[in-house]
Amino acid sequence: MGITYLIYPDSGPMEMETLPLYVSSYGELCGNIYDTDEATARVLYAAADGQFDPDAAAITADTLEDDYPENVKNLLEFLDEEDWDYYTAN
Amino acid sequence: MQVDGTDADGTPCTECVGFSSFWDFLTAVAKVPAFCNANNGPAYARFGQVAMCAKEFASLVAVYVTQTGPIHNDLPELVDADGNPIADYLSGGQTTEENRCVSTHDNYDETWCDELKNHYNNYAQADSFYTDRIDVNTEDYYPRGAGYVMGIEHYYWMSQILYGDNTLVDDPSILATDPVAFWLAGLKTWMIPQEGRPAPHNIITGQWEPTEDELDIGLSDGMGAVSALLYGASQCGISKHPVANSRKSIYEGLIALLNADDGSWTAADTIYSWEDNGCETVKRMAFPNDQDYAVLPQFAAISYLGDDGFTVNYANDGCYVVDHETDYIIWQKDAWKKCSVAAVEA
Repeated sequence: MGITYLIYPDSGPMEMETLPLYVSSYGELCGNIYDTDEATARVLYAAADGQFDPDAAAITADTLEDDYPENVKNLLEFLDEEDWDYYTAN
Repeated sequence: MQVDGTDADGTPCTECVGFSSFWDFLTAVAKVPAFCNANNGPAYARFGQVAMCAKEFASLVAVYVTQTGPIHNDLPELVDADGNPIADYLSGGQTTEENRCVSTHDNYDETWCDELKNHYNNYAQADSFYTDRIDVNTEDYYPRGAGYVMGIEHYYWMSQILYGDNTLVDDPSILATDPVAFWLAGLKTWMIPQEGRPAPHNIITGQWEPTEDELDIGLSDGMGAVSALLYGASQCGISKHPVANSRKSIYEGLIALLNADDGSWTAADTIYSWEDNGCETVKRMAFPNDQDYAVLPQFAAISYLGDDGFTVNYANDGCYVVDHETDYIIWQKDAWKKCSVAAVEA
């Protein structure tokens, strides 16, 4: 079972296609990459990665390292404030 | 770019502090969880997240520095206190918006900006979906922010995704004046596939791989494809385009610089021999919009009207996926849940 994609062509009747997606127990739209071909799996990754989280807390000099989200932790493995100030000084 | 602020002693000063602090940038990054923490494509899954993050950061910086630097924006070359030229890689961030559309800027070009208006909508030209949801206004939604967000539709969706309301359509200048919003404008362009094409994030993390047709026009994995995506024929397929060459050079310089202190990874490890860092060999044309990313429905709908024009059909799983605009765009946090709740209530 998948999610129905309603396709409205420029002319002619609406068409339907079933996408390899399902709804998780948390109410989120999910895809199983193992059920799809590689090209579709890559696009599913892209759809997942495009999500924003407007509720993420601001990061300040006082934020504890343990409270950094994973992507900020990755970035801080090779970037610090001194580097930033050097590259943006002009 | 330096803006007014206060010095180390707390005394007000003119053009004395950077437009964006390190913390502004990190705050924006925190709101985009997959930037620097991607679901890497199969070919890149074997590299560590930090190394892939370094690669993605290098590519983002190379685009940002050239996009906001003096050459691309026809601004005077930067020089240090002794009058010596400042290197390209240290010259980014000279503008936060398309200065040719800023009436108070030296580079204001009314003719050029009017021509640009043929490529985006303000309120008067907007579709009824938008005019039904936005107060009548005379704002000009010209390119602003690190990602040069342009057109009332893009401002509207960015506002919904980030604020859940019309903050950015009501005051579009925020993208050029608030540093966190400025970076988020860049990250929107960086992360979200648009108009049948991948986003730069998809290219750099291997979520896009060139199809046979794309290989035929000279596209290959890597930074060069990012340039082709963002600038197409205006900069690519040309051997000596100064901005494209500068972007490639900055990218390669950063890639060479970024590695672990303990030697456990280098950004260079993540670049395959078949990747192209520049775009001079790509055919001079727009990035194709009819390949793997051609179909990516971005909206959810609670129902559709039957052929009889009366019957309203609801989905068993809560909502349908559609291409046309609805109030539920998938890039917004919990959009599917909100749609499903609305479907149940309907």
